[in-house]
Amino acid sequence: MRLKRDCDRRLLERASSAPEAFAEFYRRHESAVVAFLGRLSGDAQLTVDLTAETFARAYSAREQFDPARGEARAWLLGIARNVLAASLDRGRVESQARERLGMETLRVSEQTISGVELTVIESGEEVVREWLDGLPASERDAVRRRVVDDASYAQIAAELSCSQAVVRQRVSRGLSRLRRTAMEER
Amino acid sequence: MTLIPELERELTHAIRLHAPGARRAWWRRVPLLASLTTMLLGTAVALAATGVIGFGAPESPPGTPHIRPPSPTSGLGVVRTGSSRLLPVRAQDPAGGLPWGMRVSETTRGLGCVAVGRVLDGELGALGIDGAFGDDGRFHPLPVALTAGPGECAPLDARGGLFINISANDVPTSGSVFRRCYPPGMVVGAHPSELCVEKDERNLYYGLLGPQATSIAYKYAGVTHTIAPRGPQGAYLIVVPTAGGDDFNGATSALMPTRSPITRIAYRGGLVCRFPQAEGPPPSDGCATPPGYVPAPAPHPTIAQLRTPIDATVTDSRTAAWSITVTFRVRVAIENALAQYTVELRSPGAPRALGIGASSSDLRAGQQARLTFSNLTRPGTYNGVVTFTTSNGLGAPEFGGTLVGRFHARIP
Repeated sequence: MRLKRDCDRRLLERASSAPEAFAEFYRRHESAVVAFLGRLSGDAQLTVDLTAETFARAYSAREQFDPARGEARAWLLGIARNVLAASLDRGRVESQARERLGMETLRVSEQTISGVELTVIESGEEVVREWLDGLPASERDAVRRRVVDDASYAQIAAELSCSQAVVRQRVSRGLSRLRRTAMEER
Repeated sequence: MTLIPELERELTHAIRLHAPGARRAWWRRVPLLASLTTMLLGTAVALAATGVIGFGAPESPPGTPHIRPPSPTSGLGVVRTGSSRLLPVRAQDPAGGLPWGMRVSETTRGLGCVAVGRVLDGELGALGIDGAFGDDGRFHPLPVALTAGPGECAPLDARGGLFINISANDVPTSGSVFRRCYPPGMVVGAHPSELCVEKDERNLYYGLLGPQATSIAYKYAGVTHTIAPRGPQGAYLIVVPTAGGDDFNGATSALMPTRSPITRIAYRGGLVCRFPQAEGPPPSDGCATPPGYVPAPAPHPTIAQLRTPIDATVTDSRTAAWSITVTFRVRVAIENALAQYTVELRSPGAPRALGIGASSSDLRAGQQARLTFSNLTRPGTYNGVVTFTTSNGLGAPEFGGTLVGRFHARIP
């Protein structure tokens, strides 16, 4: 585990002078970020844009990565969560990091989109678990049913044998907690 | 191989340019050149304004090195030499300027294709306006070898005729096949400068109704217009401004008009087909397909003729995901785009297919077909089925069809 963190740290340190190092970092974590964003956004093209902005932002913030505080993947998924939350707030995918880096808009092939869709389908459960892991059990269950499974408040209330007001409160608290976590990781 | 190789390339490229001391691309670093370009653009625009439009470089696809060049035996095929011709139909643009026109061509895989664009001196092409071609004001011919895309191609019928109706929203007024701007709302994440301005977009409705069509009525902005199809193929082309609130962007194509302002088509012999404005049931009473249309004979081999062992091999990859490669020896040949082998893959415990792929190329009897599903991460047994399907001619994989064989593969 320690070796992996050191490796990621070295790749990020070398990225300024050697673009290949960041490409290697990208290859190590691409699947995880795509699966994570794909499951939450539910759209392959959107996932590509969000992934692009996440890695562009990671490159800009590479000096802030501190292996003592956790693995690079967790750091990266924190950025991804933040990109997604900000994009949902604004109604369009954030693009500042890509613009700063001078990146062109991506035109991806149908094969790429298929690959992204497949990855998302394959890894959905693990990603959702990772995303919701930090929540108390009652909030996690409510958020999962409402946001991931798209169930109505009435349906969730019936399944959990509680009132709709309680369900709404749990979902609201859970989402606020996730939002706060994202802000802290910014 | 990464999931999004385009992103890996662009990231590496951008970082390389971004690195301290890196050389910037010439178009980003030479202000003098920019001034000169501005002057030249001014000249071109002035020329266009006075009614003289110069020819520019031909239309070409944007740089897509990962996409294989067209092949005569795969995908849509390539345009048959001598099959391309500009049709006699023209439509004025609401803002004036060069008229819009249509060109048809046939491909080596049994498809007919339609392309639209602006017309100058008997050539179809695009204008350097509204962000296309750097706003150079010039006319850029569309090479005859270019098919416009899958949505604009359909199988030729049994008599070699092409019947197709296309509704395309948010088409840039430039007429560029390879959009130089994106329709707002269609692409998430595009820079605002890359979005089309709505006033610079058109909705195009065009197609070939066949030799028996005599008149077309369409309704736009509350007014009904009637036009006559042109030429023996019954060509028509309607160009209207894109209006806010249009409920879809992109293009659809079908044998009869759909998502179109066309309300009525009259044919020789008295047949009249009416089309509801809102999406509804298809027209009945002989209007499900155009009069004169005879479907091309499609092969229907039996299971006994098709049956063959299917091999599925699991391989590891450096990204820690797995791949399953499906191979089998073809017994019934694929000779054009009207048929294909389809492979469906189901992941462990999943009732529906998670992946589906199609051969999309001509295959000889006895030839080995091969398809790889990548980036599989869920452990367990994957089940799959290979079928022979009659294609819609657009290269898209389809469910159903006649069984060729089954396979399974286990990912540890």
